[in-house]
Amino acid sequence: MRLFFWHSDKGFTLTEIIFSVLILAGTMIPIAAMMGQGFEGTRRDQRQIVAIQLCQARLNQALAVPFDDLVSSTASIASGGQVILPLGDVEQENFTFNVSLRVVDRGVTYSYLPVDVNVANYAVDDPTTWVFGTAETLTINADVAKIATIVVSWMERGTQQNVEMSTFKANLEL
Amino acid sequence: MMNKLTDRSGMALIIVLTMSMFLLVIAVSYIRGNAQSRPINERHFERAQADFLGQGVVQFAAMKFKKRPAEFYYAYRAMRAGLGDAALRAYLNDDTTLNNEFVDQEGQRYEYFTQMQLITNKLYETDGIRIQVTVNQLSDTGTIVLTRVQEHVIEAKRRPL
Repeated sequence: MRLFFWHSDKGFTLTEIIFSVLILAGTMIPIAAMMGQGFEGTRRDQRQIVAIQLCQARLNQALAVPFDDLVSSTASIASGGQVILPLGDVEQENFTFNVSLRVVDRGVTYSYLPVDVNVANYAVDDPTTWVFGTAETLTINADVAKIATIVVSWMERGTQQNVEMSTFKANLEL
Repeated sequence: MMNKLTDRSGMALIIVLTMSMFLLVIAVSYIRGNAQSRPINERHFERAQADFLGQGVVQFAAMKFKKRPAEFYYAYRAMRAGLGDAALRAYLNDDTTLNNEFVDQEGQRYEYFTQMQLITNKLYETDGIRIQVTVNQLSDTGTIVLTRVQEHVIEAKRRPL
C-alpha cells in the first residue's frame, strides 16, 4: 500500500493526485448541488418578499379608495381619470407579478346596552340615575363594510404561487 | 531513505480529506442559514396581515361610535363613576364585530379585540376617543404566536351640554 502511494521522494505521484481529485470531486459535486438548491431557495424567498411588499403597498392604497369604488377587479381602479389603485401585471426584480383585488361585502352587528332616558329621576349628568336596559343590537347588512383582499400571483417553475392579504373597509360615510 | 518516504506517504489524501471537511462545514452552515430565512419571511407576512386586520377593525369601531355614541358615553361614564362595567363590556367585549377571529388564505388564525377609551383635554377643550385593536396570530394549538396593536384617536372640539 505504501509503495503503491509513494514510489519516489519528488512530490506526489500521479496515482495519488488522481485519487485526490476523485475524492475532491466526490465531495464537491453534492456540495455544489446543495449550494445550487440554496441559491434557488434564496431567489424564491426574494420573490415571496417582493410579493408580500407589493401586497402591502396595494392594500394600503386600497384602504384609501372610496368605499363605493372598492370593487373586485383585475385591472387598475381609476377615479376622475386618475389611477388610484394600480392592478394587473407588475414587473419587479426581473419578474412578473399579477396583482388583483377581491372584494366581498359583509354586514356588521353592534351590541350595546341602551339607557332608559324616560325614567323619572333621569339626569344626563348624574350616572347614578341612569338605568341600563337589556342588550340590544344594531345590524346593518348592506353597503356597510367590505373585506378587501389583494392577491399577488406569479409563476414559480410552472406552478402558480399566491400571496393574499386582507383588510376590512367600513363605509364611514353611511 | 525508505523510512523517510514511508512517513510521508498518503499526505495528499490527508490534505484532500481536510479540505473536503472544511468545504462540507461551509456548505452545511450556508444551507442552515438559508433554511432559517423562510420562517422570518412568513412572520413578515403575518405581521403585515395582523396590522391590516387591526386597521380594518379600527374602522368598524369608529363606525360603531358614529352610530351609537351616546351608549358609549353612558357606559364609559358609568364605569368611571364606579357603577360597574357591565354596559361597557356589552359595548366593547361582547361585540362580535369588534372581537372575533379571521382565517387567512393559508389557514392561519387571527383573533382581534377592541378597546375604546375617552380622552379629554381640559386645556384645549377637546374630547377624544382612543380606539385600540389588538390582533393575535394563533398557532394550530391556539397559543399566541405574535401580537400587533393598532391605535387610532378620534378627537374633536368639546361642545357645551
